[in-house]
Amino acid sequence: MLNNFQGLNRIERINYLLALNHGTSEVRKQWAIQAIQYLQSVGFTSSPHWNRFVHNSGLPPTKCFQLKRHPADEEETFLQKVISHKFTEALFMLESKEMDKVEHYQNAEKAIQLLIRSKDYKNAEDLEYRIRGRHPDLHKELPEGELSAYRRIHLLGCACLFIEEKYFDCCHTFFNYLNRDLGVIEVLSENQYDPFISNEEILLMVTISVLVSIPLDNYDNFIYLENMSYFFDICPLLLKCLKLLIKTKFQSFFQIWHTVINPKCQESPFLHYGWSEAKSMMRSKIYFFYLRISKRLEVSYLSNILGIEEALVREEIAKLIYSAKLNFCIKDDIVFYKSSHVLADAAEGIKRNKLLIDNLVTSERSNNKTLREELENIKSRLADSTLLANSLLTHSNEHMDFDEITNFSDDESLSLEYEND
Amino acid sequence: MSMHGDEGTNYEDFMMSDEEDVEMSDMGFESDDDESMPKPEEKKNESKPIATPEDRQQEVNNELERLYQHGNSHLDNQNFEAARGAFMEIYSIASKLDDNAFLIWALRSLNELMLSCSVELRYNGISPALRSNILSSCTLISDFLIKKSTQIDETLLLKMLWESMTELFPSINVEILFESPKEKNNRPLIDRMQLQLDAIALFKNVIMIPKEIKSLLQTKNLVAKLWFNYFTTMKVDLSTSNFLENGVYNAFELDATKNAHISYTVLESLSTLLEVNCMEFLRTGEIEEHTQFQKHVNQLYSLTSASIFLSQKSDLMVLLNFSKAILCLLNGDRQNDNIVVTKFFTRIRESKDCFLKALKSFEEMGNNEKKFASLFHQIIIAGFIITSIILLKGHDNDKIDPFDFEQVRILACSPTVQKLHSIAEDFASLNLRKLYTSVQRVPEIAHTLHILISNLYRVAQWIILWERIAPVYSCISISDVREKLRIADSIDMTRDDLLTILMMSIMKGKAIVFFKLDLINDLIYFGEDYKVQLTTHPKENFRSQEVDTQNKDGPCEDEYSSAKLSDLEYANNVGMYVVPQKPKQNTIDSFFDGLKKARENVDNVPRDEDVGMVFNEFQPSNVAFSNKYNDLVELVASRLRSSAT
Repeated sequence: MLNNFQGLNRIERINYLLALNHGTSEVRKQWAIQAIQYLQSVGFTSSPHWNRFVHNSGLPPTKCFQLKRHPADEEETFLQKVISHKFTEALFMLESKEMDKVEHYQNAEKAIQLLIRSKDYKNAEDLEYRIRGRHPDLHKELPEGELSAYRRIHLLGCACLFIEEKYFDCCHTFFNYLNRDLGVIEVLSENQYDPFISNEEILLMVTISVLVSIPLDNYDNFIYLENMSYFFDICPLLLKCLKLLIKTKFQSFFQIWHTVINPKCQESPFLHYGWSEAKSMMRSKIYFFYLRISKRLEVSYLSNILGIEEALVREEIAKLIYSAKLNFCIKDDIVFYKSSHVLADAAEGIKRNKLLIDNLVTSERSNNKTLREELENIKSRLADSTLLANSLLTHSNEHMDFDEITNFSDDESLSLEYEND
Repeated sequence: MSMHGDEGTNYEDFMMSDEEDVEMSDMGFESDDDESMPKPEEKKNESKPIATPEDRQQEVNNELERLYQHGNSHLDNQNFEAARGAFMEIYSIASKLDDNAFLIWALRSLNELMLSCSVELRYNGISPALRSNILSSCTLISDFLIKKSTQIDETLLLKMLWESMTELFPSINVEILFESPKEKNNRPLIDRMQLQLDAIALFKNVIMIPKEIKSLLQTKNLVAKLWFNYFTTMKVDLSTSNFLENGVYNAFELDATKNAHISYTVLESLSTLLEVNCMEFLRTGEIEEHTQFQKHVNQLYSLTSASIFLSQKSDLMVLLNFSKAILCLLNGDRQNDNIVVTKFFTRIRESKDCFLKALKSFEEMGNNEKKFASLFHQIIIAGFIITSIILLKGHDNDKIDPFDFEQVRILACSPTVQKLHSIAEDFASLNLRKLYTSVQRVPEIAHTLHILISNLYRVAQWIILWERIAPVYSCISISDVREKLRIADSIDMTRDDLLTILMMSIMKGKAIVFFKLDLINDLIYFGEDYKVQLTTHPKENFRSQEVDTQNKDGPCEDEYSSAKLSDLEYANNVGMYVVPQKPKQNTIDSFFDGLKKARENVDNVPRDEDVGMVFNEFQPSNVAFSNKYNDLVELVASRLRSSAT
């Protein structure tokens, strides 16, 4: 899994594998030693991964060190910046470098790699987008190294989309580009020496993205699209998966999904990001397909026919039903359709609103009640204190009838009253 | 036909004058006991000196000329033994002459010797005597070449050897496919190949000959080996076919196929490779080395399409078109190969066209009883008819009855065509059981074309399911449908088979009637009535993830707190609101644009202009409005809340 990678790419991949506890302890030790040897050979060890390497190598703890006082040239400075993950500084170096026309795209490729290393996918996509707009046709006249750099930038742009779990955008961008420039097939089929992201990884990203994001009903259109056969020539895995899915041989498909694609994705620091989400999403996609065509079915049957563990099927279906508010229920082994009205949600809301209104009314009522009691009090107090005055001013009693006042205000302020009845 | 006739002495005389004893005994040991017997006794003749004065030379020349005429007239009368005797005598006498004269006469005589062998082979077929004659003639030539080839003009040598070699080992053309492929140990063919192998082996020490002859011999050797191994083991010998392939590959790489000699060997290699695979197909209905076969078909196609001469050779065109036709049939059956993808009906139509072309070229080859009776011919006819009827029923654009074609009409009375006719009728009437019985009446065809036959059944079942069952029943048990789609008592259509057909119909956009399954009671419900709302959650709600995270009053929020399944991206990928649609154009751009629009359209109501053809839409349309009510409710709720505070 590391054979093709050298130097910087290799140590970053080793770090990933160590961090995720891949391999036996002996293998891990070998990896760590290789990484340390590389860092020593370039005379610069202040990598953020240093401690992990030392820890795994079984060597006594050592501090990072810098053998040479000053980097010999610009290239070495650049390498040191990347090793120590000072990506912004490295980017700055790239940008302030004398722009040589012959190396324009190769520089841009380095830049997009830096952006991906620093997990700044937004800016990486921006860069790719700007380059896409810049040279619509001219790129055919570019020198060899520039042309393939130009193409690889687009591929890295797709990789960013995959890492961000934007599967549809990933394959959309990819095939759009492929359609404009079939030369990208060449780039994807050449043997690479020490790639940043390998062709195999890119092809897997596209494969996964297509499977996850294209509707099942459209797979059969997808494989017959114009120019698609060129792609299938270099990526037979996708065609194989699609054919299995079209023939609804889900079990054989998941066999590949779980035993061929899964390990490859686990091993790759780039595939790893998009994969965890895609892996279960694909399963949900198939569950949903079954729910869509069924009134009732058994979890055990699904588990059997898909070749997926029963407990996992049950858990994921439950999750799917819950989060997408599907009109299905699971009872014992059976998943069944449970019809609910279009307005069921709205009805729920109305019920909640009724409670709100009830509360409102109750509180209004109690307000009124308190108010009335208060008034009664005032009235009785008034009655007590003005007994004398009362006897003197009997003619004005009719105007001061408090009962009348409160009744009147009840009717007018609470039009909600009838709801309560 | 014995070796020990009058001429035999001359012949042996000559043989003994040969100094290559080793070669002689090798040859004798390998192939012919008669040869080695007389050798020791006559060895003394070897060193007999010959005086050649001028006048005597002229005399000898006349004598040789007379013998030559003599030999040729024997050959014309098909008296092969006598002819060969005469030619061998010429050689024997000439070998005692000076170099110049010897060369001229040797070339003439040896050439005639080879020709007489090849003519006899053609007329009388192979016999032990002829076999040993051919081998001894080849020994003679090879010895002559070892000693003298450098003294002969190369063009002349090439011309002579090329002619005699290609006559003696003629190409095994498409005729071989008329042999029965079932027959192991096809004696005449095995013998012929054995002879070719033995004869060519005699030339292994001949070095100084034109390179064209070398590669011719090499090809002839490989071809013979391939067929020999095929007929003895009934398997395509991969290592030999790889050698042949390499030769072809190199010629194409060097762009040397325009050269007449190279083109001959390339053509011979290619057609042999195709023939042996076609033979294998006739026998088993499969081709092992599928990708290679495809490559060879393409190569032969590029050769024939570049040459008017080749494209008018009907045997070659039969082979090419037959190979293309079966390739189309086989392509659909493979799922692991990264072959060019074509749709089922496109493939079938292509296959039909190729079968028809093969049939037409077949006619041009000239007919005879053996050919008509051969499995090869029957397969071409059957292939054409069955592919045609599939298209007739399954596809709107193909409405021509195969039985109206002249090539089929002339055979209308043949039992095979009549049986095929009843297959066509049963298929048209969608009577599966009768169809099965009819197919069983042509067992050999059914065996070889088993892939096409299973396609035929599948199309019939498909049509019955969607045109005869689905529109009529609103609810039917899975076992009843299985019974209705059953081909024969002995062949069970499993529950999974049926479910696969149903589900594949969705995948391929061919489920004409909406359906729902009850996989517990094993029922299928057909009809729009069963369209139900799958979720109460309108698509719009997926648009913003915040909706769910803010909404904390869900009943079991904690249980699924890890669930991150709430964004639009997810809903789209899982396909919760997918409205199945067919892209109008077959281009990448329009395909993805269509999908993108559908993904972004949260109203959930497909607009007519977006959708080429809506079918099997699985959500009732009023689900789209449920969120409006929800909005209303929310609005009231927020008003109420604010008025409460």
